[in-house]
Amino acid sequence: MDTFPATLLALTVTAPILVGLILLAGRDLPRSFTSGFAFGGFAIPAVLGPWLLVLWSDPATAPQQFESVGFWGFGFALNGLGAPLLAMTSLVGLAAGIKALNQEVEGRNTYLGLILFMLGGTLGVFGTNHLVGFYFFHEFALIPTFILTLFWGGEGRRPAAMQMAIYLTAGAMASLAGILIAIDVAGVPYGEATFVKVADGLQNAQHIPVAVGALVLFGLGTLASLFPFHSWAAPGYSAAPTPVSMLHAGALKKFGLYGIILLGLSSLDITGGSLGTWFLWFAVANVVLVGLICLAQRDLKQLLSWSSVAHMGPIFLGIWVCGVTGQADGLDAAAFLMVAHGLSCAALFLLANAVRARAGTYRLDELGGLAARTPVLAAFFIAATMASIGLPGFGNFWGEVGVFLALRAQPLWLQAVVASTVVISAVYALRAVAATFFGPASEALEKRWAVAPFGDLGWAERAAAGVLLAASLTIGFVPSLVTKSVNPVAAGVTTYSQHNTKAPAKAAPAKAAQPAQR
Amino acid sequence: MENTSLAHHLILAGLLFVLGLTGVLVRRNLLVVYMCLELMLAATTLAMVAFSRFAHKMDGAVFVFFVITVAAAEVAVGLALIVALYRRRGTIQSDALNTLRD
Amino acid sequence: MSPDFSSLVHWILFLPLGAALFIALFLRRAGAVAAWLSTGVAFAIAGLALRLLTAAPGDTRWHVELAKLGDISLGFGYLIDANARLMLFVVSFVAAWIHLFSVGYMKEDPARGRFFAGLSIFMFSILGIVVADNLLMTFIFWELVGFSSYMLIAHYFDKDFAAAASKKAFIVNRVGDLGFILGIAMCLSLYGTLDFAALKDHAAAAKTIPAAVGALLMCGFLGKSAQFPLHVWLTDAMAGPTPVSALIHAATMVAAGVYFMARVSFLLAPEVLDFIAISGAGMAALAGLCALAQTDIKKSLAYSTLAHLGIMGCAIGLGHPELALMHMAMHAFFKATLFLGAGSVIHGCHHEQDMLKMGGLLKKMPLTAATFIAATLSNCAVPFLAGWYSKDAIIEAAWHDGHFAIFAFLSLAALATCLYSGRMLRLVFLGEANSEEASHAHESPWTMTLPLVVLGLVYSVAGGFLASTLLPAGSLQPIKPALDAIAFHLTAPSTIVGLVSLVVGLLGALKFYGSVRGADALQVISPRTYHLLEHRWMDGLYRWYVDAVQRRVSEFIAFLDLLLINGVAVRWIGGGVPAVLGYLTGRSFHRGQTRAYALWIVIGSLFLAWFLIAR
Repeated sequence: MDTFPATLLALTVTAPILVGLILLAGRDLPRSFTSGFAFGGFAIPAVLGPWLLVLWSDPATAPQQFESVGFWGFGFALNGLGAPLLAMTSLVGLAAGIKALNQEVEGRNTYLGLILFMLGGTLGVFGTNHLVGFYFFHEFALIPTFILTLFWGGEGRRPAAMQMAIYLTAGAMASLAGILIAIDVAGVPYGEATFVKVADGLQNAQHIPVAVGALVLFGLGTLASLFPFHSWAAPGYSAAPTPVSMLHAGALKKFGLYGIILLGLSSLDITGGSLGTWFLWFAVANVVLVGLICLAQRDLKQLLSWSSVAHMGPIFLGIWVCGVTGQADGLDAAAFLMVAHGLSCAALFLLANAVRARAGTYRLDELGGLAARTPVLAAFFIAATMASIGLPGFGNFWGEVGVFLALRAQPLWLQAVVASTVVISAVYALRAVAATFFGPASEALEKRWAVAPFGDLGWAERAAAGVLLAASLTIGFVPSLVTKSVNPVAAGVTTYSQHNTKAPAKAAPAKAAQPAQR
Repeated sequence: MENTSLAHHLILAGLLFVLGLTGVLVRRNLLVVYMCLELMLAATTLAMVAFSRFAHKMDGAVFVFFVITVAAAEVAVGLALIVALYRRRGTIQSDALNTLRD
Repeated sequence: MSPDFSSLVHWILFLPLGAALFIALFLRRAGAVAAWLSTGVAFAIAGLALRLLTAAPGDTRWHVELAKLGDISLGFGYLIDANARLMLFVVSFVAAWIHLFSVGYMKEDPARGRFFAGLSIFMFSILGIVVADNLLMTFIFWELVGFSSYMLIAHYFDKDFAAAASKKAFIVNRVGDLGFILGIAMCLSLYGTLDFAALKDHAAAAKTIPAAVGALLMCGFLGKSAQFPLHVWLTDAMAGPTPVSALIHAATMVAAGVYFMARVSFLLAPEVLDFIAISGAGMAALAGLCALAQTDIKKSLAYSTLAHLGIMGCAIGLGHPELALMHMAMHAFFKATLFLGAGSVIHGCHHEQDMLKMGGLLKKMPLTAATFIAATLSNCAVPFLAGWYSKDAIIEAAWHDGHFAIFAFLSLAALATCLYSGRMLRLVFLGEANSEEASHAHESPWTMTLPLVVLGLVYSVAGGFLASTLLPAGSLQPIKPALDAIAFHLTAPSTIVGLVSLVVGLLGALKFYGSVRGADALQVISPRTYHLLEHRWMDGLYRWYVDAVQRRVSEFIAFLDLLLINGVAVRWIGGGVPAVLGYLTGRSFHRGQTRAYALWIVIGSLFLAWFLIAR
């Protein structure tokens, strides 16, 4: 009974990987069998992930229930920050899986198998509390993306895949160096390097080289598309096949942030001194500069790719303000936004692909008037757009507004600059919606309709997008689902971070907070 | 001759080793490279026997048997590979066997 | 102490949400069913709100905490005080009759289901603003109202101007919301709470309130109630169906800003109030004059709404929020009637919106005409009609408190009101028909005329009188003292202004605009004045900013990013490092030369040996 959640967790992570292995190995299996099998691989985590979040009832005792000890300290374990991210990833994975199963591709088994590996790796990242395990699953999830983009991607896939591969690997190497040095400085043996042990060790360490914080921040920040390490994102997402974009922008991006929070913020003083200043300005650049770049986009998928980079800005700022002020609200809001953004971003990529399938193009000046022909697609797309610009009712609202409120003690001009995302995102998002769906039908659309009339959203697409939007609405209406599990972790991380940067007066609460956070 | 010391043996072994190493680095014919590799192995064997004699222990000498066995196996496999390579490519000059583009 | 009406409020708030969901999921094709469902729900809410209004005085409170972000509590709750009850009733009552009107007006529209779902979602959103007990909850429903407005303006989405108008409305509102959320953050920072009741206590205890708080919260009001400089979206919003213009852009949503300002009036510093008063008065005068230059009947009424919103803002700025609320209530009735009347006229003339093509409809559509005229007279503040109670009270308050500049502007506004009203009556209802459609116009069906009668004849005429006599004094407590203080004097300045405006303005306009047939008299006589009033100056400014500044800046930054970051940094570093390494090693790793590999093995093992032995 005690190990029930732990078993569920292990199953959640390993099921997609096992199914992926079988698919990769069995190339000659009949199609119906592989379809059903792959669907199972996607569906099992989608059921178990939210279930695990719901089982997380008492934050004080919950983490212990979800731990399973493996070899070399390499077992699975869930903490309060990872639980909602795990649930989000599993739902995004289901939607991506439904989309992938619906696509006609060559080498289908390999394609599906690699996507399952991506999913399993990401679930593993959130389902472990061991630093080296974190890195292992991170690479496990990342490497299939390069292969998938290179072989199954769209236009411009070769340069995009190469750029992504080199850039992200460089970032990963930097973060690995930072992680290993951090473990070394903390004096913890590699086999036991859980987040908590390393954080404790770093608290007591004599001297932490400044470079470690920078390596972790910028290395993991590359994966989370922190400006100026963001150039891989837009071409990468545009060229990648849709399920890969969905999983990458929705889930994989978040594990960079996960590592920054649990290692960087808690123990490496990434918000203090000159590193903190760089961090702040880079995060602001994500909001403002990348927001302005979004305004200049003429292609729907490019726009969505750039906007997913821009939305990371408030998340980084939430993390920054938590480190600077020593209050957990910014971190809570950032975590909430991580979960919500994953859902809305994946939904938008899915629906944009549905637009392309019907109109034959992503270019905004060739689209137009789609709402009259495909009203359901329009409704879903507008809903997903409203979610991503932070309309109340969807989860993104709580995250964004939470970050704005957390910034309340900062200078007013900074708050205004950050809050301007509210206007900038509305401008480019609504412009895209109007150009795609409203107005009279464009010439290109008319021609296509004359040749082959296309239908509205099919049941599979509706199910995939519906799952994501329903999840976003659920956490929008019941935010406590996420905050209940995140708050204790955020409080713990905050107290750890204060110990490292501020006066010893705050060390006392750090001791008290330790039993609560694992 | 009782006047030889450990140093003489080691210098001889070292000279043989360097000879073999030079051969590996310089010669182009794969069979000659192989022979030089064996020369390097022989040099280390010599050094081990010398240590064994001057330390009055059996360890070195016994270890030599392992080395010889491994060397024999390695030669068998390596020669087989060289023959197969020659059959395929018609040459065993190392700089002619390169298929990587510059 | 006071009876608990929270369950009543639950019903009021969530019935429309339920209706909207039901329609969206199941009734999108069944337009007629959706229409009657939505209308039925609206009337039910109106009934419940009436029950609430006539009940005993006393506040109802209810609160539940949704979640916590760190120390910030995200709460959802109700604060039903006298203002809230009045607003609830006004909103739901007017909305119910507009729903009924829409049943007839949208009869031939195939997308009826979507329309009524939108109306129901709007009801949910606006009622949420009314009952909210904290700033964050108000903001949530504020944004939802913006979304409903977006969705409803874009009802005819296959027209470019409707799509553009909906986008503009949403974005301009969002600019206001930017200031709003900053104000909320500042409140939280200064007072540690977002709850209205707690804030009131804090504000009372504090010596001074920073002007910034009020100024930022005011931004929300500027956006939602279309005040300067965020007024540019309201006239474009007329692209939506007429019931939408009536409900959202005349009676309720734009008034939400006024209601909010009244709710948080204790947070507004004197400088902020001055700004609101002056800009409100200025807007009232200017918009009233601009209404003279519009030929589209809905756009003219939109400018009229802008003018009245200016008057309401002015009242708040003068320190009389209760007068502003009363004017908002009266305005809701007669403006809704005017818009519905316009809708009826448009429907009768087969979707002709140009006033110059109408004419002579008094005989063809008598009921519509009667209600329209009644509402117009109320608009012009004819004594003892509903509009008179509230508008003249505000003008009198300006004189009374010694703000003579504002008094002057408001007088000009009153004159302008009578002018454009007279113009409208003359062009639409009097004279001869100016087009085919107008000469074949016929009266509208009962679903459309009944609301006109109720809202127009009954409430616009007798509203003020009804309000002060039929309802128990308790519910209207905040308003009564203000009304009593500004009692009716024959020689009071506001009365003089009112009568002068009526005679000169209304009668003068009736005569003047009859002089030229089929064209606007002012345009014929003085084209430059006409052009001055007609041109959209602020719009031009915004257009210039978007096209010249914003677009260029964003494209430039995108170019820089591509060039500098992607091009220089990534390519150079990504290419440079291997190039340097390759140069140093003579690229010997990549040539497939076994001898080179062997050399590197030796070098590497020497290094390793040194490392192991020497250290």
